[in-house]
Amino acid sequence: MKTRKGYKVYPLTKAQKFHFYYLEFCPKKEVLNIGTSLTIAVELDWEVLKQSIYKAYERCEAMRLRLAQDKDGTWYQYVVDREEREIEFVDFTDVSMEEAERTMESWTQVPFEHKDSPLNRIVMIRMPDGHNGIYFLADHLSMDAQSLICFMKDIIELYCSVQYENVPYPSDMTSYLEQLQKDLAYEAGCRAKDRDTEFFHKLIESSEPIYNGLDGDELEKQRARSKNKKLRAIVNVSDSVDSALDIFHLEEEPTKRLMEFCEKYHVSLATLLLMGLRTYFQKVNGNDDVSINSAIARRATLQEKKCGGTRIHSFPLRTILSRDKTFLEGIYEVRDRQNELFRHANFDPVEYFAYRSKTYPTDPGCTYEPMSLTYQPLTLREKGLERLGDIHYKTKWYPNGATTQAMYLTVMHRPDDNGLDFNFEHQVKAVSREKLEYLYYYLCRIMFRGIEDPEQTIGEIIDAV
Amino acid sequence: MLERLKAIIVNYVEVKEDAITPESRFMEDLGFTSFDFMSMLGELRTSSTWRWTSRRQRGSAR
Repeated sequence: MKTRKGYKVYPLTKAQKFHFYYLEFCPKKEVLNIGTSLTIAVELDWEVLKQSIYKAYERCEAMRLRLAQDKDGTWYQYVVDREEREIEFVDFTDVSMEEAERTMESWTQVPFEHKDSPLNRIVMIRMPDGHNGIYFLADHLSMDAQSLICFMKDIIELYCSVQYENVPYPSDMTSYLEQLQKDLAYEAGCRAKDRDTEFFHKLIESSEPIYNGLDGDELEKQRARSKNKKLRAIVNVSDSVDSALDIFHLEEEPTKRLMEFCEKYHVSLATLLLMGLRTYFQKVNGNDDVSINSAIARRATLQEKKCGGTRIHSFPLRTILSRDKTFLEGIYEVRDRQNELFRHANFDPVEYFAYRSKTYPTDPGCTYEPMSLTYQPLTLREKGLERLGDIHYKTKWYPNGATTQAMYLTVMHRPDDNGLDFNFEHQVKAVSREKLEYLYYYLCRIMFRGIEDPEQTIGEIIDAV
Repeated sequence: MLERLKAIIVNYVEVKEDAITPESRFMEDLGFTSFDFMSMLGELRTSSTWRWTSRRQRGSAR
């Protein structure tokens, strides 16, 4: 297929194909939906907001993305010239907040049609609590959290530049198609790809990882069931993809302590979170060898940051840390492993898992990783809004009701007080809220114990918490 | 060499070239994340003849 409806078509990227890969195993197609709302405590000029939204669509090629399938079943993508749908408006002021949010949650559970159809939906909303703004829904094939935040920021900046004095017009977004062609060029073959392939093959071949569960006994139980004492991977998902989202909130002051530690020792919060999580699994399972899937946004250059689209690649981050290493030594080792993944992050994640399965054959569906972690540092805190003074605003993510993973943790900053939200999305049949409470409790205990005295050994921290 | 590096840096963060000095710290002053920094190192490696030591790759960014 060369063109579709007069537009040039392009193949999908590996990041997009990864979503199709797990979609195939999921009966609920809404698993690809990302739903969010942003509302602020001011009266809005709805016509200006509507025009700002149209302008934002005009500036963002990725928001005008469409998919098409040829007769062999291969998917392609193309970008249409303009957004032609009417921007919806819903007034929730005659219902309760709970009902309004239930409605938006239900919108988040309607899958997008993939063929020649928009992959997003925006609704202007007036809320019962006096806040006004937008609900935004996107298909993960066309957007990820970073590009969604970038797009919503653009709407805010465009609106504020029209409505208020001394708020500058925002700088341009960058071209999705230009970046797409760079990504496809990498995937077609180049020196960088050869280096990445060599790195991951060597990493995978070094030794077989081992599963560490939330309870500590999952691997042993599976070894007994299968009468295989050498088993190192298990199936940790249930027979139902039905999911729940449990959120735990960390206040501003303790969050500030974590951030100050990170600044002092020149590590990111993601590194500290990974250290906390892997130490929990080490405590509960007794293994020095722990792997956790780590999502990488892959937005380094300005072009990548503002081109929209979906770019996330996820790879296991594996560390083997003995109990006699200090917390700080452990943190630096986590950082070094992260940096290695960053340097080779363009590698195809599907190819990674395929090569690992070939190197260490396991039963279908088996994994070495109990969970995935994403750290989302961006918020919607916006230059335009800051200039307006102390305007209160709220953001909310809505669950789509399905997940193919046992557990996925997204840690995000709250825009109003910069505290942290720990968003655990999990299969309800695989992981209970009670288990997550334990995990969250121990994660915090480990991190705060560690930052208090990072020269303590991992073993001392494990025994103390 | 500094001018070449500045031209590359401004592809990663929204800073003006004249704001970049030899004393600028990548993360604290220029706003690089660790991913930005590692990506830039990758670009420098493939496009330049600079020699790299393991101390630089650990990225205390001076």
